[in-house]
Amino acid sequence: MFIATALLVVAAVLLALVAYRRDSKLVSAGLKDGSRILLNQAPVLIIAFILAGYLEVLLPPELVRNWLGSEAGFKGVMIGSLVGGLIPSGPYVAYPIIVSMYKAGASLATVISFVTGWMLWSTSRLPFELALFGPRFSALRMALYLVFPPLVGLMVLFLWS
Amino acid sequence: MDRTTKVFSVITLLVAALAYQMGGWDLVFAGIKRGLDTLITVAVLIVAAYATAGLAGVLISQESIKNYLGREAGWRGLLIGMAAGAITPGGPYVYYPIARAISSAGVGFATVFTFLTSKGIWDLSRLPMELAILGPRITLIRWLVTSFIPPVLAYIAYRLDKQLEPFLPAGGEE
Repeated sequence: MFIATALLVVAAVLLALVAYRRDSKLVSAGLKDGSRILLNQAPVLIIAFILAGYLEVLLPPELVRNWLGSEAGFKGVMIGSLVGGLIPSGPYVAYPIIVSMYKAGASLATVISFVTGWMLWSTSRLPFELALFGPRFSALRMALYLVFPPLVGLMVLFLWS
Repeated sequence: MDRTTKVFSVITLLVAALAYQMGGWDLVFAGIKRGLDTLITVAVLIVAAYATAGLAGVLISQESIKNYLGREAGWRGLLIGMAAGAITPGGPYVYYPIARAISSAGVGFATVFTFLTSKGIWDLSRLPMELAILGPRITLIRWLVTSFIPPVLAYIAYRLDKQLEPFLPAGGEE
């Protein structure tokens, strides 16, 4: 989190310096634009954060881990993809779950389909996507992503088992 | 209150009602607290993201954005979208507002979608954590088998760009 914040603060400062060199008025114009967009989107973003909070408390990591167990083969790939997609948190929650699954005996294919499901289908994206792009876009994105988590799981099953 | 905020409020109320059914008021307040705690934790990140978006908006002309990222840019625009997705740090509360800003600049479906897919699969800011927690073997295999996804989906989105354009929200920043 600190690195992400530092990177974005540095990016903002660099852009402000470039803007200042071009025309000092551009800095205040840019910051005004940014705050206007933020204020416009603030109500829906706050609601999105609360909805994301609900997903986290309603789908705790222990529950997700229990669903997966130590399934292997094709079934493991399918369940891994689905359960990975249900993880409503960032990498600091998802990665430790993946490691504990792997140590508990889940196959490499299950683990890879799980991590890909989390990266592509993750429910943590949905509140922000629905708020800013709407349900039609979300449905289309999910449809276009649909085959990939099971597909990469099957690739691993075929190549590394 | 706009339509999106209204619909979203209703969905959140329904989920809160589900939380009440499952765990009473404790779970209702736990959900709100979890969400607001996250919001407070990432508040600086969000402000920095919007400041960056605002400053980029006044520095880069609409015409340049269309030239480099729009349909006319072809694969060059998609490659820039992929690179931008890979290097954009932060969670969905950062990259969705950025994607929305790109979308509002009129770049077309393919570039917005490619940016989001690349952020999902090629996220470089996640790599140190991935290596540290998952270890080099799982990380390497994960990158080997998933790296083809952003270019393949970029190609599909590029071919269907015009047909899929209506799935983007209408112009404007709200």
